[in-house]
Amino acid sequence: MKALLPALAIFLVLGLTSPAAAKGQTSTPSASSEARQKVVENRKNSLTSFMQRKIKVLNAHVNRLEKISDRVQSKIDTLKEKGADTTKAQAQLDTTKSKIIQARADVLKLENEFPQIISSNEPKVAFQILKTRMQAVKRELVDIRTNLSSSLGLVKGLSESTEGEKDKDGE
Amino acid sequence: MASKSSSSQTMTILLLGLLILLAFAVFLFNEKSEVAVPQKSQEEMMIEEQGTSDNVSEIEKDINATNFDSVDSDFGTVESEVNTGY
Repeated sequence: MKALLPALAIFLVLGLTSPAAAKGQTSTPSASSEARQKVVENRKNSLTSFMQRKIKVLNAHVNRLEKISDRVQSKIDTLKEKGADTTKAQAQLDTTKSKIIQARADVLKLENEFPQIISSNEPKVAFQILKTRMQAVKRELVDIRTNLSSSLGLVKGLSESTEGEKDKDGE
Repeated sequence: MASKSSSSQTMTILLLGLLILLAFAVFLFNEKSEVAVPQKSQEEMMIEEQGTSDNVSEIEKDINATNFDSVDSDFGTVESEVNTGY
């Protein structure tokens, strides 16, 4: 029995340090790392789809505001033709138009940069960066809407003081 | 005589090959043209939908109907998805 003990010890040492045993010890973390990588890739892909959709939504909002500003411009032109002093209203609308151009440029910048932000960050971090950027664009859009409202307020005043406009607008 | 027939056969095969290549090129060109025009989604069309009149009250109605909820409406869902542990 005593003679068997050293042999058993050697067998155990060899067994634990053999390539097969080493392989068994490293295969679990490797498989786990691969699975984690796959999860990260899936999240990056779904974040990319989410951003592609959001960019379209942001562009649609910019288009809407631009169309409204065109209609306000058309009204200013009509009032100007009737002899109204549209200087203030035009200045206000010009400021709004430049804000629309800026918002469109910011959406385009986000559209160009989001793939890089997603690929070079963990999904969690990438989402926070993109969320902050989108909220900044949303604030710009809200500001444009407020400006359009102010422009229209000035146009409304002009419209009411110009003969016939009150009836035409049904006010 | 045999050589003349063989050369005419080669010409026919070459012409046929050329025709097939041309047809394939036309097919590819048409397919590309179709892809080049992206269709707007229902969501985008709904956002952009508005009147065309320059009547003050009509414009006012469209300004008041403008809301940006769709920009961050589903942030929570995506945030919880990316924040879930591995």
